[in-house]
Amino acid sequence: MPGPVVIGDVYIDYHLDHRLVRLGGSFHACRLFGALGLPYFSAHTLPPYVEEEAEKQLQKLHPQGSTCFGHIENWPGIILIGDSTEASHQGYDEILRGLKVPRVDVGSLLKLVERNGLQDALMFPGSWTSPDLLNELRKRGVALHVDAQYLDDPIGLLDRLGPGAIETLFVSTSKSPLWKARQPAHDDLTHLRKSYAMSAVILKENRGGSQAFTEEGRFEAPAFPCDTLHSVGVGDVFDGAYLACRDHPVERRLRLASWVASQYAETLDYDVFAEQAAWSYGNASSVASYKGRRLSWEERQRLSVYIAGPDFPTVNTLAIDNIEAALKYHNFGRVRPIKDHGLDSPQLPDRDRENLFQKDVEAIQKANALIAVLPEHDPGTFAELGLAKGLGIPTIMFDPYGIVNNLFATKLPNAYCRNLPDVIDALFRLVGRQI
Amino acid sequence: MGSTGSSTFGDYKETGKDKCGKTVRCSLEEIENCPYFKKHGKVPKVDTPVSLDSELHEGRLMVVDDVSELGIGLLPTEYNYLHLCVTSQHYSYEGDVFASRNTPAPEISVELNPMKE
Repeated sequence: MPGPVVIGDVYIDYHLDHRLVRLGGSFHACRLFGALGLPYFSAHTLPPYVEEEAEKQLQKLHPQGSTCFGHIENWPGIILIGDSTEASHQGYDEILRGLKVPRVDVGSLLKLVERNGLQDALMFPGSWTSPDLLNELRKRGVALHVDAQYLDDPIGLLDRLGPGAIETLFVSTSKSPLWKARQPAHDDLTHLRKSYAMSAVILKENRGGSQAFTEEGRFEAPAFPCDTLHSVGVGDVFDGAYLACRDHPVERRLRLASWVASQYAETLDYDVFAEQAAWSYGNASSVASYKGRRLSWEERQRLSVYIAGPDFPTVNTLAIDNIEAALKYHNFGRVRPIKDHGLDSPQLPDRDRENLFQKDVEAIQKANALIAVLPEHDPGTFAELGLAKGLGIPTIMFDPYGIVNNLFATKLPNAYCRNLPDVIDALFRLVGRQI
Repeated sequence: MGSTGSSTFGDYKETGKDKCGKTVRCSLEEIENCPYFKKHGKVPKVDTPVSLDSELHEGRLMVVDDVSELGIGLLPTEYNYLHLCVTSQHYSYEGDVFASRNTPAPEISVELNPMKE
């Protein structure tokens, strides 16, 4: 049986935080299939100036065949990435995207499919994606596995295609157009799968794990904490790995996909990734038994993370703002006590001060975790940290400027962190379920 | 593939980042559920020699007291990669307990040094 065809745009990923440039877009999934030594094909569009380089690099990933079915003109194809690790919004900026002029020849894509009898397409949609193209692929017996993250209007596309058109839909909480905040994710996605008669909807929940909504039921798998260097293309690798492991039961597929995706996140060196991914694929039963951390999108909303810090008008609260933004990005319930309850001052009547104090104490007592942020020394923050720790609540110290030089203050919290990605990783580790 | 700096594409190669060859220093988990604590009712002392058990225990890696051969705690799940290091790259890990206490809750911190066959 021939492998799938990976269909998508080739981008140039510029990691601003690492000053690193490499080919991205559909290349991420191609790296996955190349690493596992599995048969696959590539059909891609790209800005014409990188065509020669892309072909050179693609050959190192050993596709069985490939076609460049279009050029995207007037477009550099460069994605500027501000935060490679996705501790918060990654600051993706596809520069000059408004000038894109796609000139595609879907004929070459369809010829590739017909010539090789291809039966599966892993699609990362682009400006060339249309119901007509998808229907032409379906007419040729190709099962469509589509990553919705690349669609501006996934529901619109599903409506135009009708039920049964898409076999697998991959959805990510990193870009979530598909469910409404007022409904639990699994009700929405179960309904979505049934409404459009898809075999599976796969929900990728970043550091919280993943879920599959299938004809056999709902399944979940953990994320595997790792030494994250980047999260660019990690979701695409997950998609490819899930497809590659189709001989395994659904839950094992999710686990393997998650594990291999975490290996991709740890390195930008293809050879290192290839060696580790190949071993993992060949030792699937061991890898599938590894425990990891699970904290679904909807579970996080029910948690309360207390942000302790000198959140005063006279203080540079950028670090506290960043923590709040990151928690919001990852859908955590949160309390920012001064903003939520009010600011103490000596001018307040005693009764009001007592009320403020009680509100803050109650919020800590109800918290599932406390993050102490120290842009500058603050006795109140240390007191809140001590209270939480004494209550057995998981605590994280975020010391962005390295000013906390105290044995108790650094040893007492469950985690002591100097940067935002580490804080978020620690939070998932401390409050996630182990499965 | 990629390159440091933005002048061109090239092959991005890691150097000096052999994860398997790095010393591991971490706090253990599930101490009270492990055989050592269950038998002795307390944690091993500082300087107790320990090693990493190469077998998985319900998907986790266990650190073992070298004298009693009882498991003292589990590595956090972010160290799952050591299973790959042990089984495919033939590393073993030995070290000792560098911190431990029984109250307010049992805690053990270990240092494990890589050894290659």
